[in-house]
Amino acid sequence: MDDQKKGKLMREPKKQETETKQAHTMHPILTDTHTFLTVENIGVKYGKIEALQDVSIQIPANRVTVLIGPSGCGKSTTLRCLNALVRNDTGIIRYEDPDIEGLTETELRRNMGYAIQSVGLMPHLNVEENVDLVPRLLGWPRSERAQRVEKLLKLVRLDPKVYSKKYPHELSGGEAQRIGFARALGADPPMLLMDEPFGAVDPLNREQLQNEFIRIQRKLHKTVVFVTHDLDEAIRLADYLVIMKDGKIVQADTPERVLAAPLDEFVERFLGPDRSLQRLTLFTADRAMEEALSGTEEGAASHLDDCSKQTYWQVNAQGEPIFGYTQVGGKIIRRAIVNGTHTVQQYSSLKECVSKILNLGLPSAAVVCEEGRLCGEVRFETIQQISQG
Amino acid sequence: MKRAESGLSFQQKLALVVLLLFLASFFFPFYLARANRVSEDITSGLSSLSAMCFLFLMIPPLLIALYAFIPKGWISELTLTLAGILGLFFPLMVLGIVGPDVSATFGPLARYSPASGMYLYLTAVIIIFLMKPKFRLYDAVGMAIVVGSVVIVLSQGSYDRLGIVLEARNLGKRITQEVLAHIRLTFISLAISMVIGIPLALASFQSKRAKKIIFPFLNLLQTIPGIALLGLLITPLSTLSRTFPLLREMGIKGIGNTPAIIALSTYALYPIIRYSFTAFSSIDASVIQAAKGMGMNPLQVWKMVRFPLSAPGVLHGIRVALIQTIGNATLAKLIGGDGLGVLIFEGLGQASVDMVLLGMLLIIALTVASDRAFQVFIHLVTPSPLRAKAVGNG
Repeated sequence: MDDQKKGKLMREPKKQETETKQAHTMHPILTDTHTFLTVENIGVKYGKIEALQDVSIQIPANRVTVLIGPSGCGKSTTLRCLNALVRNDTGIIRYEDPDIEGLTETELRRNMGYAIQSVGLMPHLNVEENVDLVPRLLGWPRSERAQRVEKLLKLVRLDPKVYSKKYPHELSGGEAQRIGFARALGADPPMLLMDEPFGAVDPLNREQLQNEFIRIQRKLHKTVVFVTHDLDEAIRLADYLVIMKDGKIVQADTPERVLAAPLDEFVERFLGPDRSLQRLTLFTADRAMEEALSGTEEGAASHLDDCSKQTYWQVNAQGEPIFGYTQVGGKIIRRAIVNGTHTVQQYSSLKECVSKILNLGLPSAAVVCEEGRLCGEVRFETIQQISQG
Repeated sequence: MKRAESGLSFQQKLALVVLLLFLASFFFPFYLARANRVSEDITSGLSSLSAMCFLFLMIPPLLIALYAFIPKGWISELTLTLAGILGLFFPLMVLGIVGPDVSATFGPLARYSPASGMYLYLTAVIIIFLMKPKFRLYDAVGMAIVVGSVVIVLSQGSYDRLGIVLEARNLGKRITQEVLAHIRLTFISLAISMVIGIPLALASFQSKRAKKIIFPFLNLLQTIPGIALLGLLITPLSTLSRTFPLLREMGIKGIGNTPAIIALSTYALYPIIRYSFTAFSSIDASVIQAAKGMGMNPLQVWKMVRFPLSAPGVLHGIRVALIQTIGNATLAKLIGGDGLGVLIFEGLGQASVDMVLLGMLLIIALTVASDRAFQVFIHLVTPSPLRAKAVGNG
């Protein structure tokens, strides 16, 4: 308990030798925002093993920074240094905001949302009490806390009436992750630390959670540091991508620039052979979405004839797409559509759109809103244009 | 499928064992009688019982034989229940019936006790109860009826010449005294053991070095035989009380309850520390990491996370210690302490099996009752989601 008082955030390095290296380890930073915190030449040793060596990052404010690398590369350790769960042996972590700079370790952690892979929901507390934990630690008044919990559950799209009294063991993996995310947002912290938060979920749910994350982040604009080992996830979510290897940073830049110009062979191999396809993960469907042509079954033939559009969508009474039509060599082709298998959402990646287009055999993919209503389409040509820059 | 047709099912095999036990019990003496407390035993087998008694005793075995052949369902379960309840009731009834005969044959000082045949018979009945998939409400009702009728028969005087009843009468108020003393010994020892053990478990959990000292020491203590520990305590304690008269006034002496309490709490340390340590260390690491990451200080992590989550485990340790201490407290008598051990060791000294039996039955009753009570207590203090987890929905 003593180190807690000692542990002011300005963690002085034990050795002063690192100062000289500073210049050459600096990577490009985002120019459209200010820096939230600066990690300067930190190093961590577990016994004789050097988990981190000379790591320097400038975390951009209100943006998503993704740390990625093979397991054991030190990405989680770096994250834990940020909220002082791991003490760095050398180097300094500086916060631009002087208010944060003066906090003790526990105060600091309460001001940073924290979500981890296994979620770590308290099994003896219900959903409401779990989400409420940080506001409670901060001593918020009770009425304010109740409102906050309700708001957060709605934000992650879980009905407070249904979920607030449930216990963690009654939740599915995806639901638990959402609660974990809501809990991290508990006290509306300026910064979120997420340690492979979607790592333990199946791919379908994972995609869904990523969409949710993008939606919420576009609304809240938090400073997020996100650790993952999934390249797709990293490229989708990152505004600033940090690739690590053996406790060092290999390259840190926007995902676009990393994909366009990998700094060395390791990064190139890490990004894989299909970099042009990978680039499509950078963009969400809403960026390439255009208005779709839709109506009843009867309209198909006439519309496809006298219109610039190549695809016609038949919708049901609720506005959900049920069939897609296109004209090939004067013949009209009809394809049945299953929501989810053949449709994409607003925040799905263009890579996913391509997969759906190939899947269905139509020139474009249907974009549906949350309720399953058709709200637009993404044409393959548009994707082609985007991928060529 | 073929095997099930050709062979016997597990339940049928059990029924066969029960039947064999019943059969064997009929060849052994069912009760033994004596003209007075110290005279020689005269055993009586089934043949000396009236035809009616014999018929009654035959009913449970017949029911079991029937059970083995009827298909599974509510009828078979009812048969099993009936066999169990009646198997408990009839021997006790027979004991009531033969009572007057015994005093008529052997004179006014005569006494009688159940003998090996009846013990075998009751063993068979216990197996019947174990064969039941679940102890249901009607089992409890049946048991209550048996106990109720035994109490009524007892008050009518039919059991007056039964050895165990005679011993209980002779002891009179001492029984209550010893039961209370037994409970007191158990609770004081347990309380001391908790006050020492839980902090030691905490210390072992927090520091590897503490664990390295505490656990081997604990294992060592566990290997010392109970009686030896009592003997070892005599010398240092009597020296202490001789040197410091104040201690003597407080009742701390080389013999009596003090060394007994010390020994009992020493033995109870093992389950308490072991279970608590396991409970503390089996908490999911991610939960603790999340708690720290959210900004709980070490004290809050204990208060809000570790203690509530480890409480069921710690309480189970205390429960094991409780059961063990009730049993061990019997030894207190050896060093001049109180408790139900008094009945057992006095009974042994006087070669009175009935008195030993009385003491033993009381200890069993005490153990079962406190165990049940403590289980209910654990159930009540465990938060409901942790109860569900025990079922395996984790």
